[in-house]
Amino acid sequence: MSVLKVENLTKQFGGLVALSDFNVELEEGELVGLIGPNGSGKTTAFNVITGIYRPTGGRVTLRGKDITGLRSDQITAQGIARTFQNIRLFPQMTVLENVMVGHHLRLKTSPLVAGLGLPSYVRQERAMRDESLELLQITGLEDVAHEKAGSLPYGRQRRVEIARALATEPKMLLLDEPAAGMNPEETHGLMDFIQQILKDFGLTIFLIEHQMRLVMGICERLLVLNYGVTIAKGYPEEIQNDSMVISAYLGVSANVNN
Amino acid sequence: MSKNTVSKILTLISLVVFVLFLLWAQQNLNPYLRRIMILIAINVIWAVTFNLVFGYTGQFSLGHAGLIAVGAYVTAILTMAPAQKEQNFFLAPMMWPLSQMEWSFLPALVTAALLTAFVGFLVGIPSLQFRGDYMAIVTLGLAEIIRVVNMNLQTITNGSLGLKGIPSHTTLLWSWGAAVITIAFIATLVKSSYGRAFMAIRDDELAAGAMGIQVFRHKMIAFVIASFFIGIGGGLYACLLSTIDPNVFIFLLSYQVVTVVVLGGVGSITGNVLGAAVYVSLFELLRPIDGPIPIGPVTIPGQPGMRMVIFSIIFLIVILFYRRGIMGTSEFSWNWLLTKLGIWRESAGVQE
Repeated sequence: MSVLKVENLTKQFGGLVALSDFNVELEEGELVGLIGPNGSGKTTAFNVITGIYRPTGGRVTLRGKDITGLRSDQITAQGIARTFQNIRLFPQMTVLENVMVGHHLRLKTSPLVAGLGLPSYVRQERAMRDESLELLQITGLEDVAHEKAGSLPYGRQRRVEIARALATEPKMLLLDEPAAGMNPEETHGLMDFIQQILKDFGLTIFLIEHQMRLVMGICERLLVLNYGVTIAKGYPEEIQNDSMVISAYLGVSANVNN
Repeated sequence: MSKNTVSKILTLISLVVFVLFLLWAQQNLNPYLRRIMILIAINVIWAVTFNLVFGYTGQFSLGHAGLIAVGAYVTAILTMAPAQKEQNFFLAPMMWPLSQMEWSFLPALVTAALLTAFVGFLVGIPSLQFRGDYMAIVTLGLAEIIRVVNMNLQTITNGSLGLKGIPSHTTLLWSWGAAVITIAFIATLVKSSYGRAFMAIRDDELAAGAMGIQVFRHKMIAFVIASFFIGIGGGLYACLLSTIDPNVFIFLLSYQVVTVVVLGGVGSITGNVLGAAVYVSLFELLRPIDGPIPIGPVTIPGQPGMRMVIFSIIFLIVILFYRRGIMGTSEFSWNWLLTKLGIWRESAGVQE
């Protein structure tokens, strides 16, 4: 069974169709890329899948369960975590605290118990802290655990954001331009990192990216969006030679003189 | 012994010393000073609750006055003697079961707090859907509605005639006891996972939602817990004033709470305590300014409200130099104090 199945997903803002009839199916353990020029609806697709926007039409199912139109926190609880194009960490909190926020939805206690500092809460807090520290170790962030998240360099903030998403124990991870603003060396490190967590956490990853190097390097399959419409689907080599894709990216018709 | 244990012991010792001081003060301090100290405690309670909602959760509420009124009225109605009630309600008799009730202070206070929490829940349903300034306007309006309702519930609140002769239950121990419990509970809560969730909502609501935090529910948790303690503060206030009417709880009371918090530092519970202490004592210290002031041969005639002007100027100066209030977002800790005093050596940025 597919992990994520998106059928005819559509999002309209007034008269503007930001995303129309978007279809995608991701199998367990797959890493699929979503590309397209600026404003082509990639982030809109992510926002609709993760419940930040309500879809105008269509259906999203996660492991056979309909999650269309749920709130973003409910969708996260169902097992889809995400990162944002413009990093959205909690800058005033430490890296450890950021990751611990990701664990909050698994907390089994009432605010009363937490406010009274009862032993049953203290135990959970300690467990949460240990798990978070372990996660930081796996993601190579243990040295900055007690630093303010906002004070880290860009590349590491991206990693913290991914670690925080992993803390929600997702089945499926949506990464929105994880390599944005990174230099080639950082991008390379990130590629390895993504492939590592894909295996270690048994994830399925859907990723938006602008940097072709990264996309072509790690994605098994690709989807291309333009003006909200899916114009191509397939293996990286096929996409690279697709005339519709080339024209969308370069803005010229590929068959000018034919 | 670890620094943590030492801190805990020091906290315990200072609490014991504080209780002994209160017991002594209750007997030996003059009523005027006692009253000021009680007022500080009540303001601490209100400031800490505002801090929970605004400083930690980022929701700007101006509804304090309305919620304080609920706590104050419930406590007053439950504790007043039937004979006293009969005297008060000369326009229309009081509603039946209420007119015969005379509870002792603690159950009345707890009931008041629970009812205020419930009203807070009702106020929260519409107002927590809004953000920032809009939430402030909605809560301000709802507090005003509570005041007008109090004004018109003649057979329950005695309307604009108010309630007189509320038993003076509020002592130093009651007020400071409540303040310490409020501080302890809210400080523990904001240090817990819930506190991190609140701060996540404050910093980035969208990202908090994407991290699986039920945003509305958590805003409501903060608001209802705050309302509970606001109600306690309100009940203590009623039993301190011994006379209340709906106009005690106009929006100015909400602004007073905001002022205390801004003065002390938004996001710092230590700041709330300092802010309340400075605000209340400054107001009292400036009292002579309202009267005539002789300067050499000339006498400036007394002008009621003059101290508000002076107070505002002092407040402005504080904000000019400490833009984020006296404490900013820092908290008092034994570690900080003993390091400052040179008793402990600086620990190299490691927690605990």
